[in-house]
Amino acid sequence: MISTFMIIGKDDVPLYEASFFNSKKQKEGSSHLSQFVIHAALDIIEEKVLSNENFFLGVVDNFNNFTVSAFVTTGMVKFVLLTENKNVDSTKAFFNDVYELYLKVILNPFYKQNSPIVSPYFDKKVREKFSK
Amino acid sequence: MDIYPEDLRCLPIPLVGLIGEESQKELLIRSNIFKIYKFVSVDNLGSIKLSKKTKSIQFQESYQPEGILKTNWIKKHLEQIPLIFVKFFTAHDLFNQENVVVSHISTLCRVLKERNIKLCFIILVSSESAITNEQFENQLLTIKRKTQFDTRQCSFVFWYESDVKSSLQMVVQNLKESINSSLKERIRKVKKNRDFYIKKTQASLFVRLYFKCGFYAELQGEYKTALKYYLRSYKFLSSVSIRRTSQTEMRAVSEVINLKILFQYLRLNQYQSAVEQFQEHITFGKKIPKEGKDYKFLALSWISQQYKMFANFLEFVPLEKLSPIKNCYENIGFYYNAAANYSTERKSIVQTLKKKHKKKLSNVNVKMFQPSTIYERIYDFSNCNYIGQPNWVLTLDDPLQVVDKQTEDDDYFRELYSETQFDHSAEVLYLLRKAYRNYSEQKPHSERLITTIATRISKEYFEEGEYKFAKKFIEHISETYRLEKWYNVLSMVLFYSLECGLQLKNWRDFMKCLLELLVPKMGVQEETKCILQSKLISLIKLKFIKKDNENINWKAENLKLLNMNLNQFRVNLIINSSEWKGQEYLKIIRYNNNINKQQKYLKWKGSTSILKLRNFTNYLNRYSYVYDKNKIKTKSCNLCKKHLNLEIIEDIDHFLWDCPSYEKNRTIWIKKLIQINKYNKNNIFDIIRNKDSLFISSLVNEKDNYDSLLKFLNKNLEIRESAVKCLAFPEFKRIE
Repeated sequence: MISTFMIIGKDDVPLYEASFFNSKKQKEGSSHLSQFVIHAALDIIEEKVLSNENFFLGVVDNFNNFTVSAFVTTGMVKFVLLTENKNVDSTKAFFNDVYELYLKVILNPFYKQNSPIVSPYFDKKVREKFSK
Repeated sequence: MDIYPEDLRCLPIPLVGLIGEESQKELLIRSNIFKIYKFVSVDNLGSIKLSKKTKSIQFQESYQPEGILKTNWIKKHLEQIPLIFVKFFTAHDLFNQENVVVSHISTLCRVLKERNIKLCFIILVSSESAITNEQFENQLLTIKRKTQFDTRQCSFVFWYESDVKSSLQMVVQNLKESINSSLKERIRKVKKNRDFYIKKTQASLFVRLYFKCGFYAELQGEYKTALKYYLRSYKFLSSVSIRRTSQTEMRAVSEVINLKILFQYLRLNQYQSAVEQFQEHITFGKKIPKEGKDYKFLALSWISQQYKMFANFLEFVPLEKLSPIKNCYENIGFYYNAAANYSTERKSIVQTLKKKHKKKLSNVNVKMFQPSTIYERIYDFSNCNYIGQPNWVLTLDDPLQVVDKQTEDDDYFRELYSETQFDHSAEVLYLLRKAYRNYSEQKPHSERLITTIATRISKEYFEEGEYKFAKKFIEHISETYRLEKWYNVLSMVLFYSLECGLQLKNWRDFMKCLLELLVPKMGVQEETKCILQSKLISLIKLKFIKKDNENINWKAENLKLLNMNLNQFRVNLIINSSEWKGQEYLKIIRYNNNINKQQKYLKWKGSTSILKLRNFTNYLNRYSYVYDKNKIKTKSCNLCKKHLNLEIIEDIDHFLWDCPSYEKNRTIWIKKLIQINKYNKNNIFDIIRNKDSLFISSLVNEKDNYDSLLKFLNKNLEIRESAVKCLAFPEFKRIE
C-alpha cells in the first residue's frame, strides 16, 4: 500500500487524489487499496465529526501499519490522509497547509463547487507540502 | 473462545471431596444451594493424588523456573485436589466405635494438615435435642482431646435428620467459611515468597505468584481482589527477560492472564476497562520481539487470534451495555474485521514462503507432525508442561531419535509446514462474515464499512474459485461505489466481476462489466482499456476466445447477445461521446446497426407502463457518468411528453424537475399539468409546493413566464384561489 491523500467532497465524491511513492516498486502497485481503505473510513469520520469541534480529527482508523487521519472543513469537505507516519503534529501541519491551498482553489471564480480539483499548481503544492 | 481449555473459560468453582459412602452425600450433590461447589466422591485418601509436601526451598538469586505457568496447575485445583474434605459420622459411631472414629480423624488431620486442606466432619443425629445432653457433649470432647483436634483445620457440623433443610444450610455455611479461610491462608503463604524473589531477575516468579493469588481470590468470589492480582501479574510479565523465555511462551502466558483479567472486568460490569486492557494487551504483544523475519506469520497468527478472542468475549456482554456506540472500539465487528486483516496478511506471507521454499517443504517428513498450528497446540494443555511450551506430537517409533536430529532449520520448516496445512481462507471468510453480520446489525448502519467487508469477502471467494458467491457480493458492493462515484475502487470490483462473468459464462454480465470499465472516468490504464476493448469487439463479433475442450453452443450465445438491447444502447452512447475515439468503434456501430435490434429497443422505450418508464429513467440516472447528461435529460423529457396524459401525475413529476426542456418552458409545462389535472387540483399543488422543484423561484426570476402564468390563473379563478390557499411560499405571496 502507498501513502495517499484525498479530498472528498460534500456528497462523498472524491475531488482530488494524490499518491506518494517512495520507490519504483510502489509505483507499480495501484492506488485501489488505498482508496478502498479511505472509503471505509468515511463512516468513522462522519461519526467523529459530530463529537469533535476541531477541523482536525486525528487518527480515525488503522489498517495494518497504516493510519488514516482526517480533517473536515466547515463545508463538510473531508481531507483524508493514509500514511505510515504516526506523527500527529506533522499530519496536522500538513492538513492546515493543504486547507490554505484548498481555500485558494475554491476562491477561484472558474472553479465550480464540489467538482474535481484538476489544478496542476495545487497538485504540485500538495506534493511539496507532503514531502516536507 | 472454544479454543481455550474449559478451565480458563469457565468460572472456577471450589472442589469439595466427599469421603465415605453415606446416602447424605447424594443429598449434598443434588441440593441447589451446593451448586456453588463441585463435588468429588472418594472412598479413601489413597485414591486421590495429593500434591507433594511443601518443601522449604532455599531460593537463590540465580534460580530460574523452566516455565512461567504450569498447564496443570489450574486443573489440579479445579478437578483433582479438593480444598476441603467432608466426612460423615453417625452418633452411633461416636459412642460404639470410638476408637475407629478417633483413628480416622487423626489420620485425616495428619495427612491433610501438611497440605493445608480443611476437613469438615458431619455428625448425623436424629434431632437437635439429641446433642443437648451432657453425655453427648462429653463424648465429643473426649474424641477432640484424643485426636488433638485443631479447630483451625477441622470442624464439626451437625446434621439433623428431622430438619434436613436447616442442616444443609449449616453445612453450606461451614463449608464457605472453611474454604474462604483456606484460600486466604494460601494467598498469605504464596505472598510470603515475595521476600525471596528478586524483581529484576526473577520477574517470571512474580508473574506466577500473583497469578496464583489472583486465582485463589477468584475461587473465593472476590473478583475485585482477583483483578488486582491478575493485573500485577500481567505487569510483571513485561519485565520477564526474553532471553530466558521464548516469544511463544510470552504470548501464550500474556494471553491467559489477559483472558482472566477480561473475565474479571466482565463480572464487575467494567466493559470500558476491558476494552482498554485489550488494547494494552495488543500493544504488549506487538512489542514482543519477533523470532526472526521469516517467523512473522506466527506473530500475525497470534494477533489475529487475540482480536478474534476479544470479539468472542464481547459477545458475552449485553448489547445495551455497548450502545450507544461511542467509537469503533466498542463494536464487535471492528474486532472481527481486525482479526481478518491480520489473518489475510498471514495468509499472504505464508503463500509467499510456500513458493519460496517449495522444495524444502516437500522434503518435510509429514508423518512426524500433526497438521495444527503452534497456537492450536498451545491450547491443548494435555500436550505440554508449561503454558506456551508445546511438545511436538511425534508419531514415530523412536521419538528421541528425531529430537536429537532437530536443528533450528528443521524447527522452522516444521512450523511452516503446519502453517501451509492450515485453511487460511476458511478462517478469513469466517472472520469477515462475522464482522459483516455485526456491522449490519449495528444501527445506524456503517454502510461503507459493510461494503468494504463485503468486497473483501467477495475477493476471498474469488480467490477460492467460488465465483457464484463472489458475484453475489459484488453486485451489492458495486452499487455503493457507483453511486458515490469512487471510480478507482469500482474498477477494482468490476475486474473481479468481469472474471466471475467469464468463469460462470455469464456473457451478459461480462459485457456489462466490459462496457463499464471502458468508461473514460474509470481508473483503468489505457493499455488495459485497449485489451478490454479488443475483448469487447471480439465478443460482439461472436468470435470470443474459446478455450480448448469447451463446447459452447454458439447459436444459443448468439441469441443471448441479440437480446442485449440495453448494452447495445450503451455502446451507442459511448461511441457517440467525443471522449471515446478510435476507428475500432466504427466496427461496433456496424454491428449495432441491426435494424431489428433498434426496433426492439424503441418498442421497449415506448412502453406505456409507468413502472417500466420509471425503471428506465432510474437506470439512465444511475449510469449518468456513462452518458452525456443532457442526452439523458432529453430522452427522459421525450418520454415525459409522451406520457403527460397519464393519470398518475406524480410519476411524471419525477421526470419533469430534472428535464432541460422544462427549464426553458416551465410555464407551459405547468399550464399543461394544471389542465390535465383539472379535476384533482391538490396533486399539482403538491408538486408545485415541493421546494426541490424551484417552480416559484423560477417564476419570480422569469418575468415572461410569470406574466403568462398570471394571465392563465386569472382566467381560471377557481384554480387560482385554490393555488393561493395551497401555496404557502412567501415568494408567491409577494407575487400576489
